[in-house]
Parts: sequence; structure tokens; C-alpha cells
Amino acid sequence: MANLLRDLLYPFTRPTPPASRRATGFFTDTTLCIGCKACEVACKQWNQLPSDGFNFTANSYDNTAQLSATTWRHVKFLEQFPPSDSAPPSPPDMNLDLRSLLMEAQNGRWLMMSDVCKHCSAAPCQMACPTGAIIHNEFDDVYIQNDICNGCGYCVAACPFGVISRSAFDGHAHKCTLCYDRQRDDLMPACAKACPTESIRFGPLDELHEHAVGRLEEVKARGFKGARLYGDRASDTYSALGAFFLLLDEPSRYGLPDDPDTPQRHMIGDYIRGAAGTLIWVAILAIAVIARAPG
Amino acid sequence: MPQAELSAARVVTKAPPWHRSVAIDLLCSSLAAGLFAVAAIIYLLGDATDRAVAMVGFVLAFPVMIVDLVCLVIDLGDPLRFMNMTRVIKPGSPMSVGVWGIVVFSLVSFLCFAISLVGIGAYALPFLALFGFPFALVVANYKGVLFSTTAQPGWSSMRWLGALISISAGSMGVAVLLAAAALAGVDDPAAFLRTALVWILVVYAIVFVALQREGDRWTRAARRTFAAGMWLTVLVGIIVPLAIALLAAGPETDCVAALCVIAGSAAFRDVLVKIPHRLDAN
Ligand code: SF4
Ligand code: SF4
Ligand code: SF4
Repeated sequence: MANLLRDLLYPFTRPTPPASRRATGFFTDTTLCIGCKACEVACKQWNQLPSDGFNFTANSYDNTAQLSATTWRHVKFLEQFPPSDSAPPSPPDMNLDLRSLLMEAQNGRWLMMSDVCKHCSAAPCQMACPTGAIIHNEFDDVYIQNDICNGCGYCVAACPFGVISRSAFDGHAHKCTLCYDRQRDDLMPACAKACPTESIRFGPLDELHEHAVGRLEEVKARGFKGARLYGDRASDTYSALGAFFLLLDEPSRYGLPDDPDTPQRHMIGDYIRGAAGTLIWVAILAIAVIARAPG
Repeated sequence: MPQAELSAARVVTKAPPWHRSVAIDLLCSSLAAGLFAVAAIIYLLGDATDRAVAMVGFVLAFPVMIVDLVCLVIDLGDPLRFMNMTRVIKPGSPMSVGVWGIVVFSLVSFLCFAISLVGIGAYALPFLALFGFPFALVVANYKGVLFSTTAQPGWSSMRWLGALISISAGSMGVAVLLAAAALAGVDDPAAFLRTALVWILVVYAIVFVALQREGDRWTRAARRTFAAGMWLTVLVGIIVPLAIALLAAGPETDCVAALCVIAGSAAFRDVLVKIPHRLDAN
């Protein structure tokens, strides 16, 4: 009985939050990713997440398919090759050098990207969460308090990047914690630590931004005209991302929304339209009651 | 299609783990709120005969709300933590707003239910009806906004969804109380409820058309995928009861009209909940 009471009351206690620290995040430079999946493995290992099985997805070298409650890092493989029914490839050009092999898209290329929660600075999942389970922690990262979440699933519906999902195991929502436990002990997140090419770079956000701008210039100078930063700054419709990316092509090619939209931007207008509809039917009924023939 | 093109055409978001019980919850919350709000208006503005009809609304609203509460709780991944919804008040989260609306509405509708059934403390009914009325409207309204302020394909561009769900709640409340009045043989309330039903269904139809005209490529895809469900909503939920109310008034036909309005509302909610799942699978 005492235990039950404690469990019921515990979520309503309010411990003092830790003092704010310097905001941290990820800069993922997809041009450096070699698709080794060390980040995926390191994340699973550190967070004791179960394997999703070695499934054949018919999608390149991908066997985890998507981010989920048990996969908080997911390496995407995007094959950009001419369609198989187009003209057969011309015989190999013996003058090809490493540079043209790597850079000429018409010869086909693989884009690889280690995807993760974007730790949005104004996170729709956090705004939607009705229990207050999702918070921005002292590192300004988006964190789900697993002891509070009741698995309503609203955060799943609210995330424009399809990151969060509800676990069938405990019924709660899960996603990348940005290795909150490791950060508190001044350790680098497991995925960034494991990444052999520094495609995943962790650090204070201001430093990451500075590095990303320099890196973009470098990549562009090497001839990748389509290179761009994704989520490094806020747009008209979405906040800046705490985990932002350097991409070589349109975001949608990587399965990212080109122009993410904050769903809650529309909330006031939707309430007003809802209230207008309500007012109309209430007025119709009230008039019908009052204006009917007396007696 | 080359693989990279394919990823550009896919739905990025994940469908929430909401299925049939959410559709039932959506229907029951609208029906309970609609019944209570309609009953409150009739009780506060009407005469003694009207009040008797209104009390039927109070008696029906609470049991329907109980079914809704059960669905709400079993929808959760961890139902034992339902009370965690009341840890915070977040005006920026339609679900939080709705939960608080439901908490107050459930209490008030229980009191109105008990008073109407037992008949003791009837002097409190007008105050409870007045107090509960805005909360009933919150319950009727919030679910539409809850769905439209997500990132889900189909839902996220339905700007009139809140209005539609609320009008459908009102239409169900009026239709059920019309059937009750007609069955009880009280012609006067039945007559004005019939007039109200006709006009509310006309507004329902207009907002439904507005909803069909708006939206992005996902909404258009949803309309194509769920054309049958959408037509069922219009035919069974709007056209048939409208025709009955205009052409064939009577206790039996009014009951058929009420059942049609509820069935149409159920069909729409069933389609609504399925949209992101089906688009995701496509
Ligand atoms: S990416 Fe999705 S889950 Fe991550 S913080 Fe942003 S909204 Fe939340
Ligand atoms: S599932 Fe959990 S984290 Fe997500 S919105 Fe609901 S309570 Fe919050
Ligand atoms: S930061 Fe930690 S939890 Fe997040 S993806 Fe990396 S290893 Fe996993």
C-alpha cells in the first residue's frame, strides 16, 4: 500500500533542477560517413538496447530501417545510381582518378548519414507532451524522463522527423538522450566516441556551428555544389536543431523534411476556427429554443 | 524509381500508436460533450417540458463519458500512469488542455447525472449546467485541434478539423435529444430540436466541404484512399438525417436520424485515425 502510494505521488514531486550548462549538440558531417554503423552499435551497447534483428530490408546496406524505441542512431544508405532500365554504363574511363570517382554524381554515388534525434531547440515533442515528461535538460538537450512518461504517444505524432516511438516493451516513448548520463560525467556520447571518421562531432553548439561553416566552405570548394547545412539555424517555420547536418543533396533525399514545420504554430488559429464552429452550432440551438412558438 | 527518389517521396513522420480505441474515444468524448452542452442550453433557456428532455441528456452524457475515459486510459502505453497527465497544466499542449477539460467535465457531468437520475438537489442543476457548459465545449473542441497540431500527413493540414469535430458533437447531441423528445411524445422540444438539427447539419456539410478543399499532397492522398469512408460520412451522417428531418418527422424516423448522425460521425473518426497509418504504409 505504501509502495503504491509512493508510486502514485512520486511523479508530482518537484526536485530542484540542475543549474544550466553550456548547450551541447551534434554536428553530423555526412560527407565523412563511411557507413560502418559503429555509432549504431555503440549506442545500443551503452544504452543496453536490444537488437532489432538482422532483417533484409531490400534497402541497400540498411537492416535497421529506421529510428525506433530501440534504435536511437540509424545509418541511412542512399544509393544515387542511374535507374537500371536506362542506357548501360559506358566502358570504364581509364583516366578516372579518385577525385572524379568520389565526386561525379553521374557515375553514381552513395550518400550515408547517421540519423538521430535532432534535439530541436523548440521541440514539438516537448511542447506536445501532456505529462511534462519531455524536458530540455541542463545541456539544453531534449530528454524524456522515462519515470514520468505514460505512453500517450502524442510526442510520436508531433515529431516532424519521425524520431520518437513508443516501446512495446514498457509502453513508454524512447529516443536518443544525447547520452545525458555520460555528459553528466564529462564523457563524450558513445556514438560520437565510436565514430572513426569524426562524421559525428559532439561539443558545445557555438563551437560546432563555427566548425560547420568552415567545413561547408571546404566541401563546396572541392566541387560539391549541392552541399548545405541543415538545421544549423532557425527558419520561418522551425527552430534551430541541436543536432544539425552537412548534406550533399536536398534534405528530402535523405528522408528529412525539406521545410520542417512546427505543428504548434497553427494551434491558436485552429482553436479560433474550432471556437467559431462551436459558436455557430450553439447559436443555432439557442435561437431555435428561444424563437420557437410559445406554448 | 531510384532509391534516393523513393526516400524523397516517403512519409517522414511516424504514425502514432493510436488505433480503434482512439476512434471510439474520439466518438464518445464528442457524444458526451455534445449531449451535455445541448442539454445545458435547453435546460437554461427552455421551459419545464424542455428541462425534462434536457435531463435525458444529462443522464446519457455521463455513462458515455465513462466509456470514453476507459478508452482514454487503455490507449496509454502505461495505463497505470494515467494520473501523470495531471502533473502539469500546459496550455500549449491540446492534450493537456483536453485532459483538464475532461477532468472537470467528468465531475460536473457525474453530478448532473446523479441529480437528474435521483432527483435530489435539483436546485443545483442550473448552476452545474452553466458551470459545466464551457468545459463540455472544451471537450468537444480540443480533439480536433489535438490532431491538426501534429506533424502527421493528412492531419497536419486540416485547419478546420477542430470546428468539424465540434459541430459533429453538437449534431449528435441535438439528434439524440430529438429522438428522446420524439419518443416521449413532447412535440414542442422535438420541433425546435428538428429545426436546429437541420441547420447544424447544413453547417456541418459546409465545414466538411471546406475541409475537403484544403490541404497538401498528403491530404489529397488521404481523400483518395478513404473516399468510401468520406462518402459514408456525408451520406449517412449528413444527407440521410437531413432528409429525414426535413421530410419524414416522427418518433421512429427521428431515432433512425440520430443513429445515422452517430454512425456518420463514427465513420469519419475511424477514417481520421487511420489516415497516417495508411499513408505511412503506402
Ligand atoms: S527531432 Fe523529434 S524527437 Fe527529437 S527533439 Fe525534435 S521533435 Fe523531439
Ligand atoms: S508518450 Fe510520454 S513522452 Fe510522449 S507525449 Fe506522452 S507522456 Fe510525453
Ligand atoms: S548520444 Fe548516446 S543515446 Fe544518443 S545516439 Fe549517441 S549513443 Fe545513442
